[in-house]
Amino acid sequence: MTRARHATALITSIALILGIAAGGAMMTSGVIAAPSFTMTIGDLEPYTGDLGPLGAPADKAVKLATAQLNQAAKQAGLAVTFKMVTADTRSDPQAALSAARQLIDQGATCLTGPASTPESLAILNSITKARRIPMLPSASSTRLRTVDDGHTIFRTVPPDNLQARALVLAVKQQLGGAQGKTVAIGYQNSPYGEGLANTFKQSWTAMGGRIQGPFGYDPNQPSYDTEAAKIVAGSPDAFVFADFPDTFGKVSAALLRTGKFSAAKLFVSDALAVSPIPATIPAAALNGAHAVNAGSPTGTPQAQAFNTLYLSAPGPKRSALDANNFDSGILCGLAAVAAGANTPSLIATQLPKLSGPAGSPFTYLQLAAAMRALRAGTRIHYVGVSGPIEFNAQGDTSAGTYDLSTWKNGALVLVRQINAKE
Amino acid sequence: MLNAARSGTPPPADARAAATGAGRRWVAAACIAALAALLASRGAETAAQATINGLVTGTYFALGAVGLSLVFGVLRLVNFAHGDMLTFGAYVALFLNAGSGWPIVPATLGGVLATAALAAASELAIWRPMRARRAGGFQMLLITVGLAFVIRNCIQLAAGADPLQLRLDVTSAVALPGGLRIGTVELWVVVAGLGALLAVATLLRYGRLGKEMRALADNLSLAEVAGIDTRRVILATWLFAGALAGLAGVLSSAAAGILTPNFGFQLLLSLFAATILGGIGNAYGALAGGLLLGFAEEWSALFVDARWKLAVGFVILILTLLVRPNGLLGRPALK
Repeated sequence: MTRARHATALITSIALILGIAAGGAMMTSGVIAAPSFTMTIGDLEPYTGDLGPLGAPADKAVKLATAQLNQAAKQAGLAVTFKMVTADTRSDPQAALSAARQLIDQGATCLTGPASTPESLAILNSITKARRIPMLPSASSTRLRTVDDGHTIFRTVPPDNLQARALVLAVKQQLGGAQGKTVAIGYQNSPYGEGLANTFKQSWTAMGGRIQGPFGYDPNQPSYDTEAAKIVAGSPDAFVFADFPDTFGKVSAALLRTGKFSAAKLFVSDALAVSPIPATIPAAALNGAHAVNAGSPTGTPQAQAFNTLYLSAPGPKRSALDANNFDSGILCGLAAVAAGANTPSLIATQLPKLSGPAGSPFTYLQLAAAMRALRAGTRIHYVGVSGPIEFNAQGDTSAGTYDLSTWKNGALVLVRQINAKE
Repeated sequence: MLNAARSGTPPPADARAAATGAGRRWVAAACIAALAALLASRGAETAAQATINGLVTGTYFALGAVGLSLVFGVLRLVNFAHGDMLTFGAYVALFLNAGSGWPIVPATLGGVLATAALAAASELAIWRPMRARRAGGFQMLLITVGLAFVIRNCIQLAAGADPLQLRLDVTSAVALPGGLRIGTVELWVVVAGLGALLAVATLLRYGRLGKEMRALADNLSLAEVAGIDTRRVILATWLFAGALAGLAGVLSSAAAGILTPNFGFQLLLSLFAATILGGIGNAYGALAGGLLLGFAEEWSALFVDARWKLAVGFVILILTLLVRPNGLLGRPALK
């Protein structure tokens, strides 16, 4: 017994001495102990349903982000690997919740997506808030600004108050001013549609413009003819719609049947900024119309490099919010490196610290250097492909770059970019 | 009428006829009052346009509701799978039209026949054996709910969840006098739907099968004793209900322009509302209820936010039942 005790004491002492020595060495070099873990990014995308057209491009963007993270970790000499798991939210809150559970069961500790507010709220209230799992949805509704999320929701997608501002600027320029001009607003009865419609109305009337509506409609109605007649009544100067492709397919057919609708007067929000025009939406309803969607500054090196990276990879072409989803994936990975662990609550704590303006700026083109800086305990500021990431207290960006595009022969063509600020 | 008593002493025929007549007058008076209010407040053109829109919606509500009511009238079965039978018919027509290049008329007939066959198959494989085992009403109702899920999921498995559409131009419209318009497809929906409803009403009123159905609805045991082949009549009822569901499915998806696996289920509540509004189990009542519900929803959109027009339909249903607990054309319950 005595010999055993002596042996135990000796081993413990040696371990303590080695530990203190190793700690001292780390302190002198300024590097925190190198972690070793595999981080799983859970990607929740709508491959089917109303938002189906957004799913595959977003999935591709997060896949590219994961590959960039793995490459950078290797270059930085970190024993950290990243993997991505994905599930279909089917554009439906209940299905999204089930998909989130599936990903978390597979080890996901940071979620990119989902794409809509009802899906995000279902996941937040049932899982992520209680378990402190960070979520970076590509939903843009202002409803997510007011919800108590326990600091788990962060958005690289600018919130809809900024999108409404961009829409106002686009319509104003098209009409040569807002004073006395009438805009008819149609929206799908959802937090996204209602939020955008009301914010647009406030901004437009504040500029002296007039509003017809806003006219809300349920996505499950059997017919939209009476609503369409009300929207086109009196020949307004412009139409603004905040809707999703499935419902707008039915509404736009009803608008065309009135014989008083012109696509040249139409401005739509980001959920409808799909290219090419889906078969379920009459082409005559969108050719010549304008769409506003969160874009990325085209002139920056990271935006140009991302464009090349995205287009050279197999899969879908560029689409709305792909740059934002890419940034979400990168942020998840960087936060895990900063936390030094694959622990959701620690990742959530680190996410706001990656936003500007404080800290040294790094783009995804300097990911290895950013990871080394984080491991050295240096504060960094991630400058995204979609623009600077500057989270406010609600986890939202306070400025956004929007693409104003128009449909020509069924495809979206960029007209110009609009910078919207709070 | 299909909702007469199964048992007990019938009330005097003139009393029941008087009740039905009062119902018709009540409907007519309500419609005239609503139209007068519309004309006075919104003008003739707006009111007429909303009425045309209501006629389109009401036509396929009525088609769907008549099938639902036939089954309830004869079998006392609340069929929750009826909405998904609409979807089934629409998808068969879609497969034939958009998938195999058939013109819309034969594709529609294909959808109607396939749905009638599905309904008949459900009778032979599920409902007849369940009746033989003396299954209760609640068990039968739960089976209809289960069958609804099976049909919907099979459609989703075969065709996917993405929205699809028939090969039709849903954007063109026909100009009517007075600046009114109706979509070209919608016009054909109204013509085909009302034609089918007229044919069904004639068959139920004057045809031998209609009389047999009414006899079964009145008293199944008595009809059997009287020599009516009840199994044949029940099978025919399912065939009719299925065919009407298939036609309603094709017409409503053609008018809406887009088809998803959930569309019939989304219509189901309105179909139930139309059935109850008209007088549950009464095929003519379902027809009237469907049309009235269509008009009410479109008219209401001129006064209240269109987001609530589905709710308005149900408010009208509740108000109607408060005044006439048996629905518009339903007969008083027997004691």
